Amino acid sequence: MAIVLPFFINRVPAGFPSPAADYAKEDIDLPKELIKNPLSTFLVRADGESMIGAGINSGAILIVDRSLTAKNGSIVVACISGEFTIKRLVRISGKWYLQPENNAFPSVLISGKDDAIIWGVVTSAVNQFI
Amino acid sequence: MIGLIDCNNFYVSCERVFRPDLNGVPVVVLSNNDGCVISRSNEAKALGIKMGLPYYQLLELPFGKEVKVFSSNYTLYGSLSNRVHSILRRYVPTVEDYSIDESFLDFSSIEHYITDLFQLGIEIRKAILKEVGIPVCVGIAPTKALAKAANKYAKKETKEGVYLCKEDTQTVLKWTEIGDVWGIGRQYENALLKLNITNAWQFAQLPEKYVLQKMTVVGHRLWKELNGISCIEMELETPDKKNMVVSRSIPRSLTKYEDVENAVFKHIDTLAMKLRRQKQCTSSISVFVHTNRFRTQDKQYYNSFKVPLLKASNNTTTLIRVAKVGLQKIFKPGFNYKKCGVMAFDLCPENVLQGSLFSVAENDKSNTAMHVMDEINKRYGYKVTRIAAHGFLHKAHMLINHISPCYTTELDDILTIKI
Repeated sequence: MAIVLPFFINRVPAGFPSPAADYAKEDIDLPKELIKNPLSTFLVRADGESMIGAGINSGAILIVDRSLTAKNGSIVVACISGEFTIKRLVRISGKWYLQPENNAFPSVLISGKDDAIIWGVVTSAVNQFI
Repeated sequence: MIGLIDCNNFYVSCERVFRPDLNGVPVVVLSNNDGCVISRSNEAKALGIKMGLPYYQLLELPFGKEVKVFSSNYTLYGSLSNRVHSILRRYVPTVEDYSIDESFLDFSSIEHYITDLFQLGIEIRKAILKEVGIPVCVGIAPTKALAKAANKYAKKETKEGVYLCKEDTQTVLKWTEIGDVWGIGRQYENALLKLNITNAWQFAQLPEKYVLQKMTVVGHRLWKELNGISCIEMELETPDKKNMVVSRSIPRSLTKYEDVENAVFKHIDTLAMKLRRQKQCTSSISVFVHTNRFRTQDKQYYNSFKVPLLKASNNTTTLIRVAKVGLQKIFKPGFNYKKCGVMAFDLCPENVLQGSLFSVAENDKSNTAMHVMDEINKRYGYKVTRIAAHGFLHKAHMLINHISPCYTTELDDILTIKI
């Protein structure tokens, strides 16, 4: 019968063993924290000022999760008559609006006539300063 | 029970995920080099655009200009295909990824817990459509061949896009034309049609003895599958491939040796890179060239030559030297070359050659260079660095005039939304 001997690749230090070894943990993995469902997550880039109030600068990279269901107050990637936009979805007295977060831009009422779809829910924005 | 998930008009659907303005519009995707139509939206199908229609013929049609055209973007399609395949594994542990847009699911391990497979099909379909944005159809049946047929039936005849075929296989089989049966080739189709067998049901009703006599083992297996006896196993891991081919049509015909050589070396570069990625080596290289057989006015020529290697390798420079020997044997001046390619035979694992732990391959500077090159290309883009031998002027360069951005794999290509 063959005898299998374990072979350790790790260097075995001759000195005092590290007291930290038993407490070792992985460093924080930011993408993993920000992206809960990678299979349904897409990155998009915002171009414009209409969502400044929500912390989305022009040029920000947005993390969009398609698996989430948009709720009242969600920031969404919507598509109206074939055109993408990013706004906050709000319900006011029974009607749904796509609301900007910048007074210089108008709210858009989603009417039954529009060919409107919610493409995904924005979960975070990455604004880069350099 | 076996499920078959098939993405609808997959390449077109991939483009539409990021271009919702293309919904309801005729869209087609072209093959490599923008040659011919390989994926069609339903609107394009309704216009009568056939699979394989050459692009220039599409442009000549009266409505040709209204059709939205894309070059194939395999980086994008591969990325979305991976997402679809991965979502399926959430529902069933045993999944066979049959092709870029099709997967077989083996429900046998979960059938005890799931009472309603039809409902599960609906759920899977909904998840893929919502999360990735790709519409799929689901066929569920006792065998793979029946699942294939059930899937087609689901696509054409149901509004849910899901069809569960249990005891009643008659409906689907009678609906399935004999030529559409999985694995029935043109020859069998013609032979069976002569016998007045026009649909899958009639084929399945043939006496087993007759099928055994008249058809091959494969035909008999198919007959059993259609009769609900499962005999085509799930292939859960792609078996190690023994051969590999890289070849492309050349957009303009080439006549000069240098131009053909450039194209061949470029294919070798791709081949060697693929081998290294799979940690495999090849023991021989075959080079082939041919003219365009559709241009009957041209003189025709086809030839190939196989060169064995002394020691199996995946080093681009080594393989280029070998390919050159092969090409010089077969190249003849005076022809318009339309296609060339290279093949690798008898692939073997890289580590078998390199020995183990103690025989480090560091003495092989060239192999190290290859790995550095692969790393650079991985980080900075496909073929940023390459072997000078395949030249810088590419007459054989691919035509990709209508390619979409790589929305999911390149940060510079992500969808930009005006807000």
